[in-house]
Amino acid sequence: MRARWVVCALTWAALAAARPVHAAESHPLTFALEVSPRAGAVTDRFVATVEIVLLGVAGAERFVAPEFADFTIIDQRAQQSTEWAYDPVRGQEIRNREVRSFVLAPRRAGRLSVGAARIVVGGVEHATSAVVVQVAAAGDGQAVTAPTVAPPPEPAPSVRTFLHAAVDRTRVYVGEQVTANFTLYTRDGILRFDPAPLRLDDFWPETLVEPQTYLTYADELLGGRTWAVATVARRALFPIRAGQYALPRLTARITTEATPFGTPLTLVAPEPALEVLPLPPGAPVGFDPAYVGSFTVSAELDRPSAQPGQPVTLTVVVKGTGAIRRAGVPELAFDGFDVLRPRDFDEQLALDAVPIGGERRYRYVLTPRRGGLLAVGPIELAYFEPRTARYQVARSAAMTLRVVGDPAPGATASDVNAIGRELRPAHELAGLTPRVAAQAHRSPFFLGLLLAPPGLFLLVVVLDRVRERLRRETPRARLRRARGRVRRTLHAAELHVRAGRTAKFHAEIARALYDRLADHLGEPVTAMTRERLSVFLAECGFPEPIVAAIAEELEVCDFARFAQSAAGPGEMRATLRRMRTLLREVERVRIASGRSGAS
Amino acid sequence: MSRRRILTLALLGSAWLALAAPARAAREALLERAERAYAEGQYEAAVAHFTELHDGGLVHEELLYNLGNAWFLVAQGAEAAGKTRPDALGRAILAWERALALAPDFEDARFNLEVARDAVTARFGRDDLLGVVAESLWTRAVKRVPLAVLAWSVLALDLLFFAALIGLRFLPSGFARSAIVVVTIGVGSAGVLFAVLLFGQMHHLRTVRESVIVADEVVLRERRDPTSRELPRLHAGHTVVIVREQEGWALVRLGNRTQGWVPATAVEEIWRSR
Repeated sequence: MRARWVVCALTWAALAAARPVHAAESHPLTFALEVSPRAGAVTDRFVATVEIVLLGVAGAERFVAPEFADFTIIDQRAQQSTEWAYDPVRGQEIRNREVRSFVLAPRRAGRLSVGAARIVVGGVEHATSAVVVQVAAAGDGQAVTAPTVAPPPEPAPSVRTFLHAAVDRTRVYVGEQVTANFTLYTRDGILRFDPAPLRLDDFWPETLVEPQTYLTYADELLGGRTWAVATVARRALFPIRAGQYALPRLTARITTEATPFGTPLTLVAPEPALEVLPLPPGAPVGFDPAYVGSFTVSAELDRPSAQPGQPVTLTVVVKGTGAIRRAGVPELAFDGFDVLRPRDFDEQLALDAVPIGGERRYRYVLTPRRGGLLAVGPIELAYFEPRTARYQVARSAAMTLRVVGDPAPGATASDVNAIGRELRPAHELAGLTPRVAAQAHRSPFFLGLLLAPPGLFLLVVVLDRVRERLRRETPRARLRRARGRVRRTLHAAELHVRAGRTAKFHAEIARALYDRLADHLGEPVTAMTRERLSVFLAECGFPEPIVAAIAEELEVCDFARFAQSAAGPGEMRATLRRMRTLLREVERVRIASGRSGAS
Repeated sequence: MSRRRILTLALLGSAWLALAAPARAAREALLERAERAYAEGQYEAAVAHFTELHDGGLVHEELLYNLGNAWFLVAQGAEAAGKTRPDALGRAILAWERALALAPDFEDARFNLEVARDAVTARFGRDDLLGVVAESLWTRAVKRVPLAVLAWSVLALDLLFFAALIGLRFLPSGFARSAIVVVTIGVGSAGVLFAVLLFGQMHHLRTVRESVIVADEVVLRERRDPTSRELPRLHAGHTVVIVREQEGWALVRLGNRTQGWVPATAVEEIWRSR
C-alpha cells in the first residue's frame, strides 16, 4: 500500500514536471532574423542570419527560409549545436541551437525587403518579422561594406586543433575599422583554453567578442572533416599609425582530451598582413584623427532665452560609425559666449553593428557675455570618410539664444582653467592636530588599552577569590588569625615596654598567652585558675616543662601587674623574648586525641 | 590621593606641556607658511610644506586634502606653462585617496578626486581598467566602517563589557542583575562583531597593499626588465595592489587579476607606514 502511494506521488511529480517543459518546447526560445549590415551599396554583400534556439535535442519540424526576392543567394550555411544551460525557473536544460546564414547580393538599389523566416515546432508555425535593408547605388558615399572573413586553409590531416585569425579587410586608412576574428578549430574536446593577452599597441581596440566562461561551438565542414569551431576573440581595431602591420598574434595554451598527460599545447594564430594608409593631406582645421568613419552632429539649447549672465546648457550629440570612444570632446567657441567645456558625457555604443559606432552626448555650459539675439552654431565636426577617401564636415542646425538685458559683470570663464575652477577650495588648517584616533590601532598602546579591561577583570576575580579563601573557617585560617592576633598583642606589649608601662605590658603578655592557648586548644582558658590550667594542659598532652613555663610566666605577669616596681625595661624585654619562644613551643605541641584544637 | 602624588602628577603634566609646546608652535608656523604659499599661488612650496607636516606626523585628512589640491594645481600650472610634471596628477590623487582612507565621508576630497580622474581621462584617454579593483565581499564589508570608528568602538565595548562583568560578580540577584546580564550579552555580541570587523580591516591593510599609480603613464611589463613584453599601460591614479617589491620594481596586480611589473617609484601605497 505504501509503495503504491510512493509510485503515485512520483508519477504525479513526473507529470507535473513534464507538462511545463512540453508546453515550453512548443515555443522556440529564440527565433530571429538579422541582416547585417542594414545599409550598404548594391555591390556589397549582406548576411542574413536566422537563429533558432529550442528546448531539447530535436530541431524544428520544418524550416522555411526567408523570401529573398530582391537578392541573389551567393552562399548559405547551417550550423547546429547542442548546449547545456541553466534556467532559474526550469533548472538545467538542453538547448538545440541552429544558425542558418545566407550571403546575399542585392539585385538593385533601394529599400529592399528580406521576408520573414518560418518554422514549425510542435505543429505550431512561428514566423520572424521581415527586415528592410537600405541599398544605395554603386559609388554612393553613404554605403558601407559588409565584412567578409576568409576561411582558414585546409589543415594537414594530422592537425586536430588549430587557431585561425582573419581580418575583414587588409588595406585601411589610419583610424578605419578592421575587424579581427580569432577562431578555434578542434576535433577534440577542449579541457582548458588559456589565451595570452593580445598586444594591441598600434591599434585602438574595441572588444566585440570575449568569451567569459566557456566557448560556444558550432560545427563546420573543412577539408572534408567536421570541426567544432568557436570564436575565441573578436576585436574592432582602429590603426593609429600608417605602415605595414601584421595582425596582433594570438597565442593560447590549450589542453584537449587528446593531449598526452594533460600537457598543454601552445598554439599560435596566423598573423595576416595589414596595410595602413595615412590620411590624405588637406584635413580641415580642428580635425580630430579619431573621427574616421561617418558622423553626424546635432545640437540643442535647453531654452530659447536667458536672463543676463544666466548659464544655458547646450547639448551636442555626435553620432556615427567609427572609434567613437577614441574621440575627444569637441572644442566649441561662440561669439558672445563663455563656453565651459563638459567634464563628462553620456555614451551609447553599438558594438554589434558593422562597422561599430554609437553616439556621445556632451553638455556645454554657455554663459552669454552680451545681450541681444546671439547665434549658437552651426556646430561643425570634420571627419574623414574612408569610403570616399575624402574629408567631410558634419553640421548641426544653427540656433539662436535671446539674451534679455546685459549680463552681470565678472570674470569670464576663459580667465581660469575650467578644471581648476571646479576644484573645491583648500580648507583652513590653523590649529590642526594629528588624528590620533585614525592611527590609534597602529599603536602598541591600543593593544594595551584593549587588554586592560580583561586584565582588570581577571585581577578583580583573583582578588575576590583570595579574599574568599582568606575568609574561610579552616584550621589553617584559624592558626593564621591566631598568629596575627598574637603578633599584634606582642607589638602592643613592645610599645608598652618603650613607654615604661609595666602593668599594661604584663597584661598584654598574659592576654597573648591566654589567646594563643585558647586558639590552640579550641576553648577559652581565661577563666581557669593556674592550677586548673596546668592540669588541663597536661591532659591535653602539653609536656611538663612547657606547662611549668606557662604557669611561671602567668605568675610573673600577675605579680608584675600588681607590683610595678618589680620589673624594669630590661626585664620586660627578657620577658618578651621568653614569651616569643614559649608561644612558638606552644604552637608546636600536638593536642592529645579526643581534644579539639586549632593545630 | 596624597599631596605628594598630586604634586608628582602636576610636575609630569607641566613637563609634558613644556616639551610639547615648542613642537606645536613649530607645526603651527609651518602650517601658516604652507597656507600662505598656497594662497600666493606658490604651489610647489605649499606641496613641500604640506608634505613635511605630513611626514612629521601630522596625519589628518584636511592636510592631505590640501596637499592633493596643491599637487593638482602644480600639475595644472606645469601644463599651462608647457612643462611636464609627470607625477603631480598621480600624487594629487594619492593624497585624496589617503584623505578618504582616513575619512570615507569626506565629500570635498571625493569630488576633487573625480575631477582629477577626469583630468587624467582627458589627458590620456579613458582607461578601461580604471576602478576595477576587485574586492571580495568580506573586504567590502569590513571596509564599510572607518577604521578609527571601529577602533574606538571596540575599545568602548571592551571596557563596557568587562565593567558589566565586574558588576555582575558583585551584584546580588534581582532586577538590576538581570538587566546587566542582558546588557552584557548585547555589548559582548556587538564587541565580537566590531572586533571581527576591526581585525579584518587591519589584516586587510597589512596583507593587501592597496596603492596608486603616481606616474602619469607607466607601462606594465611582464618581467623586471624595461625591454620585456608590454602589458597594458597604466595611468596616474590607477588603483593597484602591490604584491611584492624587488630590485627597484614592484609586482602589481590589477583588478582583473593581471599581474605585471612597474618601476617601484611609479607606485605608492595608500596606507603606507608613517
